[in-house]
Amino acid sequence: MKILKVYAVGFTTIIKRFRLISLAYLSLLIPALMVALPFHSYFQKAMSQYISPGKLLSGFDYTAYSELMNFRGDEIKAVFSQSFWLLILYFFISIFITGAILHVLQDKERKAKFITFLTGGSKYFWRFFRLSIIFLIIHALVALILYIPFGIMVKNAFEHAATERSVFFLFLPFGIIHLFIAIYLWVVSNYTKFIIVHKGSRLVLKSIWEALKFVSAKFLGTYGLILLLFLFPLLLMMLYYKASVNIEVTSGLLIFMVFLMQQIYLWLREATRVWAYSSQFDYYLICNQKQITENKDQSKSSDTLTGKNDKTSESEKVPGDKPEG
Amino acid sequence: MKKQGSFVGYVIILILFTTTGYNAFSLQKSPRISNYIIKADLDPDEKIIDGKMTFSWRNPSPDTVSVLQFHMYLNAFKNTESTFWVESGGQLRGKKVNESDSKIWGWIDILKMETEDGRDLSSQISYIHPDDNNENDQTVIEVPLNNPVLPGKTIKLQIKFRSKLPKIFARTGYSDYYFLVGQWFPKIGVYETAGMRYAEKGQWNCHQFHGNSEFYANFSNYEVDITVPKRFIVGATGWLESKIENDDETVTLKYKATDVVDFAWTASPLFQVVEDQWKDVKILVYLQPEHAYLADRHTQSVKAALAYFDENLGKYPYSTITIVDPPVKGAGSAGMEYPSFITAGSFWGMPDEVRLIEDVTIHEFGHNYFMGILATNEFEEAWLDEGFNTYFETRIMNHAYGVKTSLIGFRKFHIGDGESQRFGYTGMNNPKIAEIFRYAWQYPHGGYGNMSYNKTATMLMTLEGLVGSETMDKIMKTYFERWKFKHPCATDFIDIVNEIVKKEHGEKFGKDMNWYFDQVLYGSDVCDYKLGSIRNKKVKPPRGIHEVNGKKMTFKSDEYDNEMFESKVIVYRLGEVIMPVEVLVHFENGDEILETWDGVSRTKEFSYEQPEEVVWAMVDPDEKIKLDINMMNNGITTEPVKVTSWKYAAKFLFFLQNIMQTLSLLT
Repeated sequence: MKILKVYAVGFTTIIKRFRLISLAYLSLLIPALMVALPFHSYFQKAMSQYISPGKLLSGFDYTAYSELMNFRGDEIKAVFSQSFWLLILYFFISIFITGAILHVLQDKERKAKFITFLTGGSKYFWRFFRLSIIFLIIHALVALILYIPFGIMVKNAFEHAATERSVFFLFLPFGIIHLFIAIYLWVVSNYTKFIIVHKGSRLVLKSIWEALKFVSAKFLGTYGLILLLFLFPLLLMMLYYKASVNIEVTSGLLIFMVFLMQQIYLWLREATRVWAYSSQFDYYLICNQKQITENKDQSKSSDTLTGKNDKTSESEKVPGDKPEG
Repeated sequence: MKKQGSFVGYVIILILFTTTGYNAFSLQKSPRISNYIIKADLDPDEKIIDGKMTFSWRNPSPDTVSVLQFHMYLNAFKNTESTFWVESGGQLRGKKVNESDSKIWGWIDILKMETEDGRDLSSQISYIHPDDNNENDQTVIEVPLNNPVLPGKTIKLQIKFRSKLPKIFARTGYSDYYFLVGQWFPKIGVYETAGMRYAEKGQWNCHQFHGNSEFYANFSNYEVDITVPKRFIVGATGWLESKIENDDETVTLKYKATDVVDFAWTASPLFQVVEDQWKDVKILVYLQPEHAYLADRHTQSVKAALAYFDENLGKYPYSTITIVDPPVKGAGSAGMEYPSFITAGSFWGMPDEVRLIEDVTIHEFGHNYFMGILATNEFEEAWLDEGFNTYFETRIMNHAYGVKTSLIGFRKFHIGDGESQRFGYTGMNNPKIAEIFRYAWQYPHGGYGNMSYNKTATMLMTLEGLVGSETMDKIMKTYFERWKFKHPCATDFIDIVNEIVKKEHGEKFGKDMNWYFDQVLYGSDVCDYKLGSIRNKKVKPPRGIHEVNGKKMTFKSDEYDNEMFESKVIVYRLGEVIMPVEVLVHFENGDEILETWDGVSRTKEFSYEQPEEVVWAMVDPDEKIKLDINMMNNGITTEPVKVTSWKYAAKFLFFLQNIMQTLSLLT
């Protein structure tokens, strides 16, 4: 029931950590706007006074779209290529934001002031950057290890199978295994971050190893919690899809309404990110606290026998401890 | 009484004959220049067909013919030196063949060729290369005759041949135990008499097998016995006459087809056959087991095509239509056409809104008309085959599934088949790459598809736009009625256009329509009209002293209640192609004026003095001229809809943010 408790507590962060979520959301909005606004002006310039692109307001029109792109699309296409660089940039921003979020979440009393946010982000940036690179490599290796045999099997399947359905069903177990491993790695990566933040460790590989041990020891809890945490974003996506699929955006007001809806949806997705970190962090701390209590009990009883003093190590910090830095 | 009785009997026999397959075999629709009686044994393990063919050919010309020419098209797959291989690079339809695989190669050998009187012609056979002098190409043979065929006389030959099927990468061959057997027997060329198509004197027209073309043949009758192991399910051109089980665990299926230009068949142990009916036409769909649930999409689309052709072109003359669904490994044989026998193409899980099955089925069915019945020469005028068929495909697709949704029909993302065909031409990097009128293997840099399919279809859509749908239907129906079961060429079609347009519209489009075809069929220039600008200027009322009825009067500007605007609408012709165009001018109060312009000069100005300003104007408002390579510049407005760019900017922003959020999972 521990995971239900941290899940529920995590949910309350959506309300309590409004400013933190909003800062994370702004870090998503502002860089995207830097590309979307030029897109708008190029699009408007491309449309010029022509009537035909106006058809795109009432819905998709293949002829209008393809001619716009064919004859006036060079600048718009240039924006598309800029998007690639934006995504690279956001990769770094996201590392920064993760550090900032965890720094704020580390202390329940800590307020998400902008300066605190910046402090947290910069404090953990290089550690989290190394961590991200290591996990990117691990993800790539896992994909390689999984899909090399899959590729060979597909090739063989095509030699022997009559149609494509069998190939699809061949892919399914690989897809499921990959998803399982990817989530597992993701969970390990998250707990590594908690260990780094909680213990102030600078040794990323050591922290990964600790996280691996922790996640493996508490597999049902950590994995169950992450699956539980997927529920809300999934529900959110379904709701958004249901709400947006039937809306025909044909006027300025409707465009604004849909824009608002989209941004609220994205804010909520950022909220679920904070919620997920909060719940997992709490889970880690609770488990750790329990471990400490057990260790204390053990050491008390052994100290009683040996006469040693009790000392709380850095790794024994619990929620509410004075944050570092 | 007795006489009366025999009359009744005659009528009964006549009725019986007209309602049986026998009659279908005997009622002659075409010249039936040649006849083939073939016994074909398939060895499914070796992928070899052993054939015995009794062949006859009637000399339709006033000439004495001393040589015969045959297609030997499986030799196109014999090695990398064949013209087909050189042109295709061993890669067609996206599939690159593995040349190190010894099983991929296909060939055909004539083991023996004898005349009726037992004279062996085998040693006299030689390969010829009428198209490109490629000495390594073995796709056409010439057989000198000791006894030439006199005008109107028939020659009979006994031919033994062996065909090794290639592993499928294009059109024909095998994939495991799926066989699509096309171009598999020695097929006589077309002897064109003087005056037929472009022939100035009697001559053989027998082209090599090319990367882009393979059809031009006589109308013939076929009687084909196909022997395969019992486990195989067989489908073929024409109708199944009988099925006999042999003692050696094989079956022999006798198929007959009349008035057709080719014969193809298929065999696989996996086929699931679905039968349906449209009027008196039996529909047979040979599906892969995993695609069985897609049967309806095949039958419904072919029914839509049958009905549309029946109403808008002419009656489908055959009693069956067989549709083959190849396995994904044999996808190179998908989208092929043979008389009353076509291959479609489907994928397991294909959404209903992606109408590729329908599109391919309708297109390939259409070839029964364009190539099958109107037996044009695909080598020399591929556009009369593929282009006309694509034009009808778009008409049927649009009719059945909606103009804007016929190819892809999702609610928020849709593409019309006609739009897609047009953009296949107008969206080219170089739409001037070639003129449509070319030999199929002579289009430069992959222009074959764009010119013979896309531009031709767009050319016909434009013709329809200019002369109107009713006139266009008359043109097409006349073309069909006049040329069915014959071999028409470009000038035959243009003559009909000139005749019908003149009949329907007088000289509205000039003395004939040659100006149109000269520009868009025989020429490679592009058409582009542009609405250059709209200028509105307030008309200043007269001021000062004016003489009215001999009296001097002083006018002041405030004495005029009605404000007037002088408006100019300027249109440009940017392309070289000249078309008559309409220009629609829209005023602020909703009034509209439709102007016509012969489109000849480089620029045209329309002027108005009205109490209202011109708000927008558009060249070709009904989008009749689909050949216009840039329709976006056809209309401009003084009040552009600016929110559109906000809509797409918001969409783009949201898309980016979603990607960014997903990316954050990796950090």
